[in-house]
Amino acid sequence: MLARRMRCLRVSCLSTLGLLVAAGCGGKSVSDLASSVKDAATEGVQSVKDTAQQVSQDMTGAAQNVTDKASQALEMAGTMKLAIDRPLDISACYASFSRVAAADAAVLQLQSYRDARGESYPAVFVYASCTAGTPEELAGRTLDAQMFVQLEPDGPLWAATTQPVPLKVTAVDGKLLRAELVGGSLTHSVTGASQPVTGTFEGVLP
Amino acid sequence: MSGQLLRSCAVGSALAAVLLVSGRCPWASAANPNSRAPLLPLEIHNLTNAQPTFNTANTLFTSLLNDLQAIAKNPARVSPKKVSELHIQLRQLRRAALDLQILGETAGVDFSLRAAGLAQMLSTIATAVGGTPAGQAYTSQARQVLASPKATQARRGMAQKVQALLEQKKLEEAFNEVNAAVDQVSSLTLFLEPREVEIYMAELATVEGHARISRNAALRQQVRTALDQLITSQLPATQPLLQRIAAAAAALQTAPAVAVGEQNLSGPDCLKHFADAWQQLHLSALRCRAMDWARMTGTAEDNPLPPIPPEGARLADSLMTQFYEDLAKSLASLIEADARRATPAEVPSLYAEYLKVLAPLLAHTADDKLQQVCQPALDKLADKSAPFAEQVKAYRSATHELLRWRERLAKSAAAADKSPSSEQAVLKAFRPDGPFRGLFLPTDSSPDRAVLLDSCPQLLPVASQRVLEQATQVREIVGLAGGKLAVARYRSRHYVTLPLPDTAAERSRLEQDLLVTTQQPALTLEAAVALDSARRGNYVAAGGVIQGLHLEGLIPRFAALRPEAQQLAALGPLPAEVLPDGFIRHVLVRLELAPTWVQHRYFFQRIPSPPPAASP
Repeated sequence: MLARRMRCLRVSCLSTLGLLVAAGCGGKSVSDLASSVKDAATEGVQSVKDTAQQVSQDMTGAAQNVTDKASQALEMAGTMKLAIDRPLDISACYASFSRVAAADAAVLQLQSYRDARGESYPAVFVYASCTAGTPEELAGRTLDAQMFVQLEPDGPLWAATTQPVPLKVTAVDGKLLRAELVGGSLTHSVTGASQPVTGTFEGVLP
Repeated sequence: MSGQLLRSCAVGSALAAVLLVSGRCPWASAANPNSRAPLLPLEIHNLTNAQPTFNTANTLFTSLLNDLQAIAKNPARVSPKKVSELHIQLRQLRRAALDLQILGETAGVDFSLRAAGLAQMLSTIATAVGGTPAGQAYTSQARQVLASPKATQARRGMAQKVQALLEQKKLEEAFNEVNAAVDQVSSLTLFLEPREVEIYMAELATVEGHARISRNAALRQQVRTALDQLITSQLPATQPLLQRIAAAAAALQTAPAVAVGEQNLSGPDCLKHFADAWQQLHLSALRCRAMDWARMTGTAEDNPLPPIPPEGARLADSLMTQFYEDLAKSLASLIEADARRATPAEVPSLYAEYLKVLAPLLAHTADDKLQQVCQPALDKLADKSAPFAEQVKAYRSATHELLRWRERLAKSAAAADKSPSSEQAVLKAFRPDGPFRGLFLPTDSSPDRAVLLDSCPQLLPVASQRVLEQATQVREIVGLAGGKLAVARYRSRHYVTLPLPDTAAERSRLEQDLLVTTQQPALTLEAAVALDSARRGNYVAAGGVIQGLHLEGLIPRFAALRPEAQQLAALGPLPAEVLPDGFIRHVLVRLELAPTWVQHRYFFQRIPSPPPAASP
C-alpha cells in the first residue's frame, strides 16, 4: 500500500514538474506569455497564433516527458496481471535471481512486495528453481514454478506446490524480466478446489 | 431369600456395576487404567519401596473383586464365614491403600476409592447374609465367643501388649499386633448392631487409635526424610554447568578444541556435550519436582502429618526458567568464541557442524529463544569468511521466502479443521455431572487441576463414552526414537500419543526445495531445523479421532520419568502446574489419537483412513 502511494506521489510530482518545465521550456514564464499575447494583440493576430502554437508544442512535449517518467516509475515496481477465480492486477512485481553455487542451482522468485516488512495484500509469491548462471540465460525457458496467492492477511491461499505451474520467461532485458504462466492451476488451501490460473509478470530485478 | 439376595446384590453403586460386568482384567500388564482396561491399577514410582505394599493391595483387590463377582452369580450359597473373611481382606486393603498414600503413591488414593466401592457391595451382601438362618447361627455363635471371659481377657491382654510396644517405640510391631486383633474381633462383630460392636471393641479401640496415629506419623516422617535425601542427591546443578560452559567458551577463543572431562572437544562437540548434560539436568529437575510433591503432600485419610506448604518446595520453577535464559546465552557463547578465533578456512566446516548439533537440540525446545540467541553468533562465524558468508546469504535468499510461504500455507490448511482442542476433550470427558464426580470442578475452564474423587474404574467408562471416536486437535508433537510413535507434549494435565504417519514424499519435496543433497547440507539454521523436524516427526499440530483414554498419577508420571519419555516436557522452563496442594490425589490423562492430518511447520498432510478389515 505504501509503495503504491509513493508511486502516485511520484507521478503527480512529475506531472507538476512537467508543467513547470513546459512553462519554462521556451524561456517564458506565465507572465511572459501574457505579455507576449498582449504584444501580439498589438502587433497582429499572426504573431499571436505563432506564439500560441509554440506554447502548445512546449506543453505537449512536457506532457510527453511526464508520461515517460511515469512509465519509468511503473517499470521500476513491475506488474502482475493474473486471473484465478477473478482478475488480479497488482502494480508491483519484484524479481530476484539467487545462484546457490554450493548446490549448483539457482532460484527465480517473483513477489508482489519488496520485502516481507512491506508486504501488502493481495500478496503473490512465485518460486522456481533452475540451473542457470544468470537471469539472461532464462529467457525463452519454461520453468516449473511453485506459486502462492493470498488475498487477505490470515486468509486462505491459492497455491501450486506439488503440481507446479509452468512459467515461461519470455524476456530478460536489463532490469526487467517478463514471464507468463502457460497453463496450470492453483488449489484452495481450505476447500481444496482447483482453479486454472493465467497471468503475466513484469518483474524488476535488483 | 435367594431372590432377596439377588435383588440386594443388584447394582448399588457405579463401581459395583463396573466390577460385576468387567470380568477378568490383565493385572500383569504394566499399564495404567484405561478405556479398554479400567480395572488396571495406577502405576507407582516405587522410590519409597512401595512395591511390596502395592502388590499386597493389588492382590487383595483382585481377590475381593473375583470373590464378589462369584458371590453375585450365586449369592444364596455364600457362607457367613466367607463374608467375614472378605471383611478382613477389605480392612487389609484399606490399610494397604493408606500405606501407599503415606509412601507418596497416588495408587493408594485409587485403591482407597475402590475399597469404598467394594465396601458398599460387601455391606449389601452382609446385610442379606446376616438375615439368613446360617447368618443368624453365625451371629449367635459369635456373641458367645466375644462375650466369653477368655475372649474378653485376651482382648485386654492384647491392649496391654500393644501399649507396652508403643512405649518401647516398637511402632510397626504394635501396629501389626493391634490390627490382627481388631480384624479378628471385627470379623465376629460383622453381623451385630453398632452398639454391640462398640462394646466388644472397647478394650482395643483406644490403643488401636494410638498405634495407628503414632505409626503412620512415624512412617510418613521416614518417607519425607528419604524423599528429601533423594531430592538432594538429584537436584539439578545448574550453576556448575553454566560455569563449565563459560570455561569452555573462554578456552575456545584461543584454541580449536578444549579439554572437557577426559576428552578434547571442538566447539560443536562441546555444544553437543553440554546439550546432553542439559537434557539430563532437565530430567532431574522434572523428577525432583515430582518427588517434592510426594514429600510435601498431605494424604487423603488420617493425615498423619500436616502437608508442607508450597513455599517449602525444594525446587523453584523460576530457577529453571532463569537457568534456561542463562544457558541459551552460554551455548551461544561457544559459537561466538569459535567465531572470534576461527580462520576463514575453518569457517565452512565449523558452521556446518554447529548446524548439525543445533538443529536436533532446537527440536527439544518449545520456543525460539535458543534459536534467536544462536543465530547472531552463527552469522558472526559465517562472516569470518567473506566467500562463505556470500554463499550463506545466497542460500538464505533462495530459501527463506519459500519457507515463509510454506508455513503460511500449512497454517491455512490446518485452520480449516474446527475440531475442539485436546484440552476441551479432556474437560468434556471428565466434567462432573450429577452422580459422576469426574476430575474437575463444574466451573473449571481448563483441565490444569485434575483430582481423583472417584476411582479410576468408576471414571473411565463414563469418560470413554463421552469422547471416544470424537475428533480433536493436538499441538506441539514430537517424534519419539524408533520413528513409529509421537507424543503431543504434556500440558494442562494431559498428553497425547499417536502413530507417526508416512511423510516421506513431503520430506523429499522439502529437501528439494531447500536445495539439499547428501553432499550439500542446509546452509541456514532455519532450513536445518525444518529438515530435522520433518525427519524426526515433529509437528506443529495434528487432528484426528480419540481412540483411547488413560489415567496416570501426576506424581509417579514425573517422579519416575524415564529418559525415553523425557520428550513429554520440552527443554526449558518446567511445565506449568497449579500450586502443589494435596498432589497425592492429582492425576493426568493420556489420550490416544488416530491422526487424520498433521501440520509440520512447512507442510500439511492428510492421512488417509486405513481400509476397513475385509469381511470373512
